[in-house]
Amino acid sequence: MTTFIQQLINGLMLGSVYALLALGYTMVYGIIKLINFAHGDIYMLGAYFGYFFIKVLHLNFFIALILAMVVSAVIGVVIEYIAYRPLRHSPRIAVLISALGISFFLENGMTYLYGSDQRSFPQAIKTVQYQFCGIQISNIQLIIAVTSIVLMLLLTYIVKNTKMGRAMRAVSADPDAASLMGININHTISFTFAIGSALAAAGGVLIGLYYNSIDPLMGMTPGLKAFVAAVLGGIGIIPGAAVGGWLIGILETMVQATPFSDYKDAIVYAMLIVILLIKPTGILGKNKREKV
Amino acid sequence: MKKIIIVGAAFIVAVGGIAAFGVVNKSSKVSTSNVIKIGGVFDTSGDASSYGKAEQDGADFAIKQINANGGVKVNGKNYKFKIINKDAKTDNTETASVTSSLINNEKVSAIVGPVITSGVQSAVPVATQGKTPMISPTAGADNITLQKNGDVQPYVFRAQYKNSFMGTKMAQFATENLKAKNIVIFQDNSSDYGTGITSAFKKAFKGNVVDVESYQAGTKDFQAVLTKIKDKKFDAIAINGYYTEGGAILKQMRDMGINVPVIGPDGIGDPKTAEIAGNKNTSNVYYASHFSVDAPATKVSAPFAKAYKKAYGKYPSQFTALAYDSVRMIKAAIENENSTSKSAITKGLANLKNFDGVTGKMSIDKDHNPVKSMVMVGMTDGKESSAVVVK
Amino acid sequence: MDQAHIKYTLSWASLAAMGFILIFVAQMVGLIGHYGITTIVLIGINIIAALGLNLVVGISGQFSLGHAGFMAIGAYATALVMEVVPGVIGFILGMVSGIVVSGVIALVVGIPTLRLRGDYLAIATLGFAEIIRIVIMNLKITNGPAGIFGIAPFVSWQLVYVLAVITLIIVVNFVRSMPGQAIIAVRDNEIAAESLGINTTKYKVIAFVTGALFAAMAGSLRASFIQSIAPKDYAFMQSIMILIIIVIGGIGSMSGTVVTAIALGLLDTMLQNFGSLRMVIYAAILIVVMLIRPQGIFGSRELSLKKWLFDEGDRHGSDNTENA
Repeated sequence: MTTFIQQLINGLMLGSVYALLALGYTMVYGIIKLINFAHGDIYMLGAYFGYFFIKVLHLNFFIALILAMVVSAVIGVVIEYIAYRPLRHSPRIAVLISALGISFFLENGMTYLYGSDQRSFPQAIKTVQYQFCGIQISNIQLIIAVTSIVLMLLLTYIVKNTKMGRAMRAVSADPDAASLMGININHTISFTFAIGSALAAAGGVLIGLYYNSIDPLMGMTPGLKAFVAAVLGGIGIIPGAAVGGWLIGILETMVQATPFSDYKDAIVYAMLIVILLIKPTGILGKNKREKV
Repeated sequence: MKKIIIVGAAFIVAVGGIAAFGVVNKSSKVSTSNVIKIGGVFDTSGDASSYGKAEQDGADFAIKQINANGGVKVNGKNYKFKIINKDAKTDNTETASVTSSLINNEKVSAIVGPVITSGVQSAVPVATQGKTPMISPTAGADNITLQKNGDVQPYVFRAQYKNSFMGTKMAQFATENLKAKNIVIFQDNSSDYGTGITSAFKKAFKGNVVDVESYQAGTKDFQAVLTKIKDKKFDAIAINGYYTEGGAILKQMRDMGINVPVIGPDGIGDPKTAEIAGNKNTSNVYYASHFSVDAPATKVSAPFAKAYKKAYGKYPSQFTALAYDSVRMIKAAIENENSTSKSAITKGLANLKNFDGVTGKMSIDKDHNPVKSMVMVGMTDGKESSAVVVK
Repeated sequence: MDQAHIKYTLSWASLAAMGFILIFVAQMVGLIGHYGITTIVLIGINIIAALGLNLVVGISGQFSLGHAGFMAIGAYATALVMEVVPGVIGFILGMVSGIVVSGVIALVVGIPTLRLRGDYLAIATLGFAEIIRIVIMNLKITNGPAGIFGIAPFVSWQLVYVLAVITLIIVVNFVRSMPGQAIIAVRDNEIAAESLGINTTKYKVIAFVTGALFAAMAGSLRASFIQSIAPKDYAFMQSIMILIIIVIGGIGSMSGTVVTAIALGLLDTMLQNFGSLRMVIYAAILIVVMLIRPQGIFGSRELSLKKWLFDEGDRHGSDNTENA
């Protein structure tokens, strides 16, 4: 039983990071219907900024975390401005390819500038293990869990209760009507990218600290998984991303504990397909007929 | 109709042009140069790029050093090496294309690379067709130097131990030196490197293999697997993979309080292992090594490490050292045969004996694998603290 | 068949023949050697795979990210059959069985998943391709991550050229056929098509399966040409690379696909010399092309010989539709 609970906790930890990433995916998708393939690479950039702020500028971990989020938010906005905004009225698949281009550019640009080697992330916070009732958890795992939950609550607050949040929801529901109501669509989209990128960067820094290694391709797999998580939870729905992220994290961990661990990813994808077939718009998605 | 005639005319002109160009081109090809061209097939982008870059640096450094020291002497004439590096993108199709470009367009005399086993497999047909010797610094799968019927591939060589050799020696070390009875194996199953070593290890290990856990390259989270094995009975762990994941496994298992000895193949043998795992977690760790800065294999090892450090500001990794040796093996082959032809280099490589490499003294056996002794280096607090030669 | 149609068909055929002769002569006089031929074959294989995907994504409007999975099936079927049956017969048998298996799997996958829409379908197909790859990687018979090597070479540039041309003919004619037109109707307005009595799922599945057949053929050709295969060749990135070809060419434009496959193939050979800058340059080109031509180089139009060769008065390339 303790092993089971331990595995559950492991899964929740892994899932928290997927959830942080999935939130960005889902917000961007909700507002401009774009699968932002470069999102996982923002997560990577965030980790590198965190590395820079701690290792070179010797900043406190939390200050570095916030700075990395701010810088990544700016980069997210710039990327949207350069590569997505001119394509606002183009076929969606063109924006998708542009996003892929950005993703390749960031991954390979970082490889070119800083090498593809793994870097060890400065251990700004010393790992301490806590034990209770046979269950083990480290302070860093707690920091990850608490930070992700705080960020998710903050996001929910922003979306529900602020003016910008209302604008985001309006644009996502009907951009034309929103702009008629005097909402500046471009600002709203920029703001969405800023928040999504900041969350991804937070994930990157936390993961850097937790696993102690960062590299230019670190965003690829989690990016894909987070995308799956967002779809699983119901793309465009903020609580859905969190649910999807945790579900995938737990599923992966649980499969690893079985003899089928070699097929871990295959089982996750199979589950995904089954869930989509039962509920084609994701777990929390509303079934809505496409407009004629 | 006019345009049809234009198209037809353009077509005839194009065919004629090509034919004429081809004829002219053929007759003007006579060259006497004192440059020996070497092709470098390294994956400097894609998944294997960290190994590819380290190897490209090693090969470039060897070329620079050889040229600075007077080049290659053949029949009293001094030749210079020139290396042409191309990126294979960690992609098999691309590797075949790049290899073909080097052999057929650049007319190289020998090839260093590719980096990984599957790359070598897709380059072999091209090298064989072009009758060009190819030496892979780091490909490990047993059968890459062999044809399907068991005969040796005439043009394929390597500087790396083959996987089964490494797995067997690791098992021997686990039994004889660590006295391990029950072992848990982690294997990287995204390439044959991990799986190949594991299968040889399992065959040679005298004790009991409690569990084999596979992971994919790029995996960072091992909490679940470690939690799963934690309560099992074992007295050693083997990590058959590279330092990227090996370091992560080491860190997470020591954090969890699993303190048994860890053994690994040469993929673990990199300073990055201790960097990622943290020095305090890197104790009681043993890995197969070709090249160690602290325990030099031959008399050329230490000067190489020093010169490289001076040029690049860091000590060479073993990927770098193996690529460095590969180039020097080609040089030795040319000088032994006293000829720069491709067939002479091939013959020279096949007959190479007692070559003083920075990764050990080696001879090429009949299957084109290097025969060299394997050293198991032990780490304490992130520093190399012991070295045992596994006979 | 009226006379005009014969004329256009003939002019296309002679264009294809001209290309063949050009390559043939260039090879004969040694202007293009082994490397040039390698490049041509790889471009041809990409054309076959991309035309198949364009049928799925462009014509039927189903966003599939799983093309690599079907290529893997074709490649592995060919390799495995050739281990049992040697010689050219084994190759043909392997390719055919790869195509058949791929078609059956596409059918099984397609019937339930094609009910999904847009990005949900994309992620489901991506998932299937990944499952196929992971299964291949863990099976004994496929030799795990090391893959299979020593596959006998039976692929020449002539074979690939002819098959690419045949693929093009099949795809273009398919688009103009009854099912093809029905598929386009489903793409443009599913509900309207449904109300006209078109069985939408049936036609989507037809397009999906046909695309999978060509993917398998491409995989099979590449396996025998490169002579080795490994599961990592068929990862998500492979699907993306094929997708890029059809999007840059113009979704739904078959001639765009062919032209882009050639252009990107040549670009790739040029970038081989750039080391780690290579993919940075590639990415920059990708972004710039998309910003300049979001609808792809050809949009949804086709190159039309009819306008260009025979309609003297018209400005060529101005306004052509698919039925040109």
